[in-house]
Amino acid sequence: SRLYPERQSLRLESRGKALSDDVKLNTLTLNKQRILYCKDLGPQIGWKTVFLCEYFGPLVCYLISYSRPALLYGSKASTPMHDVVHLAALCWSFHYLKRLYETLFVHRFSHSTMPIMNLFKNCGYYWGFAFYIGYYVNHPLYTSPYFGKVQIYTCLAGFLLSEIGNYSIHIALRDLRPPGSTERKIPMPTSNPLTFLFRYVSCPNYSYEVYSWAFFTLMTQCLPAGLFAVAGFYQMAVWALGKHRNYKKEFPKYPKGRKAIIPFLI
Amino acid sequence: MAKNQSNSAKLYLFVYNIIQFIGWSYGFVNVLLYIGKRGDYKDVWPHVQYSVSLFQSLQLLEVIHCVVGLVPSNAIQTLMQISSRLLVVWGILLPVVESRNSIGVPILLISWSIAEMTRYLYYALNIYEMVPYLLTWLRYTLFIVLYPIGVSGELITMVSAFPYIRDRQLFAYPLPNANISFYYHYMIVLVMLSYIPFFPQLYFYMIRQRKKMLAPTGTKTGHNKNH
Repeated sequence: SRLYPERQSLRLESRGKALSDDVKLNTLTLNKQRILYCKDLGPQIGWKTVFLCEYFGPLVCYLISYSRPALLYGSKASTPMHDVVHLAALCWSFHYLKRLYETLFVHRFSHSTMPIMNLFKNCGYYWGFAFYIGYYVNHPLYTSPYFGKVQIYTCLAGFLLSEIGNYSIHIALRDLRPPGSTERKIPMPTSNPLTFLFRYVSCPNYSYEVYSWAFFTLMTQCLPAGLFAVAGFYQMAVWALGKHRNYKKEFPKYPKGRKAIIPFLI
Repeated sequence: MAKNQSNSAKLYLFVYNIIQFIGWSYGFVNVLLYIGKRGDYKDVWPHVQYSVSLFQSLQLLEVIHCVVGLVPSNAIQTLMQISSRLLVVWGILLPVVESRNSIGVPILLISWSIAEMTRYLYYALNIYEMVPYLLTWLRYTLFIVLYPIGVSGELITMVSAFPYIRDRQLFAYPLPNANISFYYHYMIVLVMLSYIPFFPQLYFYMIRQRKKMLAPTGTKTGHNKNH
């Protein structure tokens, strides 16, 4: 039938919370008629599939404008590109190749699927911004940063540091719970110095991501990149605040000074 | 509508809705008189532009009504519905003088006026649960014809303004600068394309509302305020 398991949300009340996948039937206290409600979550698609689409698209969409097609830029398409434009293309590609790598080899997903409409929403967002940002950075009339090489190379360093930081956090989170164990632990700094951010925020992976895009924006001095950084920050702040709340609820001894995404602030 | 609304809140909303009703009726009558006397729709806009601009912009208050909870609707949805009208009034008819002679102008003026007259009178009377069935019927039936006609008027007016916006580079912000650019005529194209998903959503929502509100299950008229 079309109601495959991933499409089912089983709950004890018709509008209640969904039961976890590993709950056993004989541990539930069912009502007298032994009724279990099932909601159809709609067509589902695997998380890994979604992530691979979301993250591969931006490479293509950005590199299209990087190749300076006459279709987009007309007769000026052959004007030379400033160094920073090449660096930006490298940074952009590095970011998404890293994400693809993490999706395949680092992350462990708690759900296996999500509703298929999410695929279109998410891809629209990522691919749209990739094309929007790339169009301006790779434009023949692109203006390079006011403070020249100092600005470009400091921000490049900041970007790379933030990328490595983000990766370190992903590794630390994965190692927090070795496969097979069900123990839940409070994330703490590890031997990797970049994980120090755990002392100040619950979701340093999001923090590093915000910093990456802030550095990218400053390096390219491109307002669309700034808009992308702000949009991403908003969404990640919402996620971080939720995670932070859950951590505090789950662990009574959760470190008090920690914020959700930006040290000391939020 | 929250049943525990204070009397002053009810009075305020009643007065607001009546003011809008009077404003749109005034505009409607003027449009009909003008076209009746002249036999032609050209140059009708200057005769009603002040009242239409005023009462259309006043509708922004309704977004505030949603935010403070005076009215149960969604603030963002209300804002989106109003903004397409505001774009036409302030962004097309005002700056692009040639668009005022488009056939879209009388079309949108008449459909907006009739829709708003019925809607605001309905809201006003609904506050005191005094809506005659005929008015409920009009409010939930006229849209079937008025929505598509009004939308056509808006789109026709936008299309008529398009070449002038493009050629004059109206509101354009070109490169080079902070590495971003804005071209108003492209935005108009995007807005027009956005009608494709939004119009059916709104239209079918109203059709579902119509089924609910005009259902013959003996619910007393005006018992439930669903926008």
